Amino acid sequence: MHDPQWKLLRHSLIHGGVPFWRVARTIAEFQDHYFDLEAEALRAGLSPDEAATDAAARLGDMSRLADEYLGHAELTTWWGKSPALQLCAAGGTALWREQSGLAARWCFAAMTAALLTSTLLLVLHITIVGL
Amino acid sequence: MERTNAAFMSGVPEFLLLRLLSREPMYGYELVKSIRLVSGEAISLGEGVVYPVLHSLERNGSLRAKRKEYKGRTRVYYHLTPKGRRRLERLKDDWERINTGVQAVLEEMSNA
Repeated sequence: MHDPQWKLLRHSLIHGGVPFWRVARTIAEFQDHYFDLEAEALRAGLSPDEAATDAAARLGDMSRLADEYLGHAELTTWWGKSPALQLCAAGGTALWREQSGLAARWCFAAMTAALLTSTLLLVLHITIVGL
Repeated sequence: MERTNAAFMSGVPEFLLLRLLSREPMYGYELVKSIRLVSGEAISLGEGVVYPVLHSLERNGSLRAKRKEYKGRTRVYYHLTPKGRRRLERLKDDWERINTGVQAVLEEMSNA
C-alpha cells in the first residue's frame, strides 16, 4: 500500500514557516481529502490496495504539495520558523483563553514590578552618580 | 484528463471557489469535485491546490472555516462571509470585462 508521507509534508510546512496550528489543520484536511479519494476509488471497484495507491497519486507528491502551499507567502510567518517562539506564543494564547483574568493580573503584576524596579534603579543611580 | 493550462489559471481557483461557496458551505474534496463537474471536466484543479487558496481567503476574511467531526476525521467546511461576497462580485465584474475584451479580439481576428 502506498501511504502518503504525512511526516514529510508536516516537516516541510513547519520548516517553511507555517505556524504549527495551521500545519496540524492542513494535514488533517489533506488526510480527510485522501480518505475521500480512497473511498471514491473503492466505489469505482478498485481493490483496497489499488484504491490507496490511486488516492495517494491523485493527491500528489508531498513535496509538491508543500511547495504549492509555501508559494502563498501570506500563510507563512518569520516566527513560524522558530519552534521555540511558536511554543511561547501558543502557551501565552492558551493561558489567555483559559484564564484571561489570571493572565491579565500576571501582566499587570509584571508591568508594575518592572516599573518599580526601574524607578528604584533610577533613584539609586541619581543617589550614587547624581543627575 | 488533460491538465488545465496553468498560464490561463491565475486567479481562477479563487473565483471558482468563492462562486461555489456562495451557494452553500463546502469542504475541500467537495469543492474540487464540484469544479470538475460544473465545468464539464474543462477545469480540473489539482487536489492539493485548493487548500492554500482556501486558507488565504480565510486569512483575509473572505471565508470562515468551521470544523466538524466526520467518521472520526476532521472535516473543515468553508462559509462565504459578507467580505467574500463583495470580493466575488468584484472578481465577477473583472472576469466579465476580460471575457468581453478577449471575445472582441477573437471576433476581430476572425473577421480580418
